[in-house]
Amino acid sequence: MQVNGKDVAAGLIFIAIGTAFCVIAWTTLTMGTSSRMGPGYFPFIAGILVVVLGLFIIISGFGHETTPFGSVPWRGAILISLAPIVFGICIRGLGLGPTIALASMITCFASYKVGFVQALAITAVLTVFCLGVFHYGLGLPIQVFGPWLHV
Amino acid sequence: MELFSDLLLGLQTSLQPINIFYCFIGALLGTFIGVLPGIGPSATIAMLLPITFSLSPDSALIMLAGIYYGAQYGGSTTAILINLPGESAAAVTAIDGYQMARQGRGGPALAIAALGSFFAGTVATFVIALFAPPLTEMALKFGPAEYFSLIVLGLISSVALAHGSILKALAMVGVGLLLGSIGTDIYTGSMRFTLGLPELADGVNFVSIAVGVFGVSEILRNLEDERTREMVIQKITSLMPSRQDIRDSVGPVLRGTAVGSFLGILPGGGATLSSFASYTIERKISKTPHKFGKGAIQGVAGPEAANNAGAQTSFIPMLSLGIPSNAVMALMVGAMILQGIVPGPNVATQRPELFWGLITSMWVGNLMLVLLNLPLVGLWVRLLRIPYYMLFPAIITFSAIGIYSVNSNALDLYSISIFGILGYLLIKLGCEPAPLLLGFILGPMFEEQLRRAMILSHGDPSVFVTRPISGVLLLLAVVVLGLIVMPAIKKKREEVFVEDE
Repeated sequence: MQVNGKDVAAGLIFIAIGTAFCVIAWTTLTMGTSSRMGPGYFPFIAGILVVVLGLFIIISGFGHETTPFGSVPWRGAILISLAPIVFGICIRGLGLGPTIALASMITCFASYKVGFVQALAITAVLTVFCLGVFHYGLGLPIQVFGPWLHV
Repeated sequence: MELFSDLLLGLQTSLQPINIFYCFIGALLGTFIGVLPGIGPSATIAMLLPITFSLSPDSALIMLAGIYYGAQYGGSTTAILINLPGESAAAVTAIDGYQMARQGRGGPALAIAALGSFFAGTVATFVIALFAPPLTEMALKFGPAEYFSLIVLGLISSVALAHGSILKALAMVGVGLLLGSIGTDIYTGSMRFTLGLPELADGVNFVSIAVGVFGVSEILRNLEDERTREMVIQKITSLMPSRQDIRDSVGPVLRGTAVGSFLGILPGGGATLSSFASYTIERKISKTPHKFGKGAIQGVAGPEAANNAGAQTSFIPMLSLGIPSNAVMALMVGAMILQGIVPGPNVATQRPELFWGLITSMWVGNLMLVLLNLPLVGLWVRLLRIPYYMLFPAIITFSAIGIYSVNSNALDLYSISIFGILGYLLIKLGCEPAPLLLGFILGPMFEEQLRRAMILSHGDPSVFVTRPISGVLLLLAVVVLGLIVMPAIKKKREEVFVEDE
């Protein structure tokens, strides 16, 4: 029997999310009654709904050919999701300037087409531009060079 | 005439130099991202939301609105000149517009597109001014049960009009509702799903989710296929449309405006749906349907008017009821909340200068867009040579700085990555991200109205059907849901959205 793998995968993700919320709601929150709903009531119902829809999505995938998932830009996915994390870790310590440069360098390499020199050029322009707009223009109260760089 | 005094009040706000400036910035940015394929208005507005935090509420909303309707103008330039829709609503324009450009009539196509859009924008501004106040009036009388049912109707119909699987869209709404419930419970103050993290007490940052599911996943989708675009940009000789062009366009523009104004109001409607509907109508009623697809000016004039009208009238439910009908409107609601304004019917009564200022600014913005787009078209075309790899580092850095500037909270930045990856994965599995965002933004209101209604009815759920307005709204939701699962309509719906890819 043919099964559409994408539908099954999507269904499983929804079931996982719905179940997680239901379990946490059931174990840590008060449910209350329908006339006085507690904090857990609404999320629990919504969680059940998501689980049920997930099941239906899996069922709807049976009897259908699977459609191609398509290529995934692995390098891009890793680097682009890394950039905000690095930004978050460094912003307090390194300050605005170096953090922008770091995040920009990381993102540039997400594309196979960018060489090292190009990345440096994009980063330099972007850093100057962002500092101009956010620090000098909008007056963002973040130090340009953070405490990690004060010797 | 109350309408005119209201419009006058609005003009006083929208014609302040500072607001003209931000309206211009919005229109400019909108044209820019509309022209560039690979970055849409949702991602741009999400990215700029945090920056608007430092502006006054009227300037912020005027600018963000400008980005949305500005993108409709810019999108048509790319569609006509290089056969690539810069924006999804312009996909239809590419069919006949590009053929016109190949025949050396690119200039008139651009001119008709811009003038048709301007006409539609002007009419739509009046439609908003006429329809938003009575809806507001009605909404002010709504109790919790009515509001609950209205949200159900809104969510269901936005799912019906979205493309892709209905089951998946509903599940995405559900996930949005769940994510929206993270944070402090409004009634008891207890922490929900915060996993012990104090940063989550105020809930997941809306901007992080929006940037993640629209910005990051859009970038990843573009990185899938990094081949160089072979771009043949058609030359423009003269912008002047001939007398015959104008005569041929009047009807389509009028009909497009009407279709767009109507479809824009519906939940889930807006620009894209309107332009497709208008093209279908024009081809049906044309005496020369064989000319469509081969450079018929009617196929440019109608859809262009329709998408601009639809983009603007989709503000009606957002402004009068506080209920966003598409992803861009959800972002506008987010911008209001960020500014400390509670979206809903009270905005019109308590902040009339903001309400009418935003409406009148759309007309001002449309005027600027005609001036920006027609004489400067050569400049915009040159922008198409910017390679994509120079854009996305800017998108990521801007978003990161902007999000951090609102709460100085590193967790908001980690959320961008989490929702970016989750959003991309779900998109790859055929789940559109817009319903998730709608569920997230409407979730807290939905739950509050449900709980209030149930307290008032002493736990009796029948209030939702026995109260007349609420009952009718729920009935409509059931009808909509019933219609889309009916085989004949299901098939038609799939046909419509296949072209949309």
